[in-house]
Amino acid sequence: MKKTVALILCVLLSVSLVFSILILSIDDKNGSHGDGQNEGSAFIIWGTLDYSDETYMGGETERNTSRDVCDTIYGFFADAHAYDYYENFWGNDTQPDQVYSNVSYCEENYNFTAIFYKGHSIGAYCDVEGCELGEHWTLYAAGGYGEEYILDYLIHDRMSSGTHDFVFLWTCGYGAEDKLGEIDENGHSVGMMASWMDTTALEADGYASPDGSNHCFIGFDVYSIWFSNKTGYADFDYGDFASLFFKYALYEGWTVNDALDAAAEETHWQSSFGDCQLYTGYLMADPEDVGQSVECYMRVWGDGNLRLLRGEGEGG
Amino acid sequence: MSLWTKRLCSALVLVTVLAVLFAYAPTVYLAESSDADEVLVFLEEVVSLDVAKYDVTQLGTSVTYPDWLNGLAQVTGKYTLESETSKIDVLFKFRNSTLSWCLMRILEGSPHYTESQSTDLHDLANGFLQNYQDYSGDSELEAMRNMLDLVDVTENSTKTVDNLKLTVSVDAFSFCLDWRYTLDGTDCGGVDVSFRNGHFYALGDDRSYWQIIIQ
Repeated sequence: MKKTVALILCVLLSVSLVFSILILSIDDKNGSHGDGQNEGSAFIIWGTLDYSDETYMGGETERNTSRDVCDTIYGFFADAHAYDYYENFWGNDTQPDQVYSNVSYCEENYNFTAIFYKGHSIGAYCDVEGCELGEHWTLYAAGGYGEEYILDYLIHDRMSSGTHDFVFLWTCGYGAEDKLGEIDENGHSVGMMASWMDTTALEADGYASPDGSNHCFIGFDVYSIWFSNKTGYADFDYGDFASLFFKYALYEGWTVNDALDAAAEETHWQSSFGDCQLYTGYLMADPEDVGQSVECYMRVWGDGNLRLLRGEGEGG
Repeated sequence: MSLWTKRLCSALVLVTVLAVLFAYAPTVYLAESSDADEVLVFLEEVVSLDVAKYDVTQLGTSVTYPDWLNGLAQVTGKYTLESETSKIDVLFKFRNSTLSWCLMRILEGSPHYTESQSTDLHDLANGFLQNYQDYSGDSELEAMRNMLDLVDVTENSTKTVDNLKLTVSVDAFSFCLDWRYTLDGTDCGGVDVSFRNGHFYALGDDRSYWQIIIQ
């Protein structure tokens, strides 16, 4: 009789364990992280294939590192099960028309969209009648220099709900105050922050003084540092910094500031983002003044307290 | 209802209850909690934070084994400390079972301390290091503390004594002190501590594992 009771208890325990696994897997499929309030989030990676210039673009090494890091970041989003739509379009899929149509798609279907771009920047002029905004700013598409670029105002033309809330452009210049841009009375825009985020009214140092706007734009002031550049600590490079930033933001559910701090601490000598050279300034070779270096910065605009792990009571 | 039907119903109820319990059982391991508790001790004894005045919430910990640590565990976690007038986030990492990183982000108000904080940067840093030495029992910190008397902590500077180099960095964001051991001109493990607006901001201490990562 005792053996029978013990056997029944074992069977009951086994069945319970199986059911508990089923309960958790159903939770995962729902993309629920806590309260199931995820109303739809998207994350898209874009990136150029053009790293042809060894001196100022990093060549084949930088291109391969960029591909690998974007793959890694994509993997974090896939594992996190926190986003309803996530794509890695690094490489050939980074075509201007695809970028514009994706902006429309995300604006219309998701209440939070995060963007990561890796590549290069170049100025251009638009042919919009009556434009008085001067020089426009673009991103390299897959083909790179001399091919069709991704134009700032054509991104903004696809805005409808203004739900591109996190934009991280790992490219030169667009984090600088004089490149943030503006939007004229006709809705015509210039600059990447203005165009992607439909605003320029973000706190200039969102790391030190988060503005609570639920919008965060990260870019570089002057030249972006290469992924393949070593940080000087252990064997880390800046590709590691980028991937660790997303890892902490998604796996730990930490804020942008927390994730910047954790990634900086792990990859640098310093114990916070505010003390590391991305924030305090680093030197890059200046292609406009050959043989000279120029001080550059990573800039965090807006709300450093924004969280990328959606669905835990976060506002859109 | 027959006896077998009753038994079957009881079994089903039991299975359901157990399944839910298994599914939502806390996933934080005892060892991790123990590590995390150490952070609160650090905040009390080194930062002089009056932890008793806060509602403390631990937002979970995770254990990973990053390649660069060559098999050592890294425990990562976060606390929020909240009172009516003060809110603080605390991030931490343990490596090689030692607190290697702690960052205290003041979100609202002014922190509650058990003793008043000096407004003099030298005294603030000296007091912190003294507390850190008492907390860790680490005699190496004595030499680091002594170096504070050899530099002007209000401006950027570097001072080397034997194989220990102190770098002082002061900017609008923070005041940072970095002690590094050097071996044949190469930077080795050390301690990095920064203060912001007169409060502790972050500590990094990689001395317990630096030999592993530079192999």
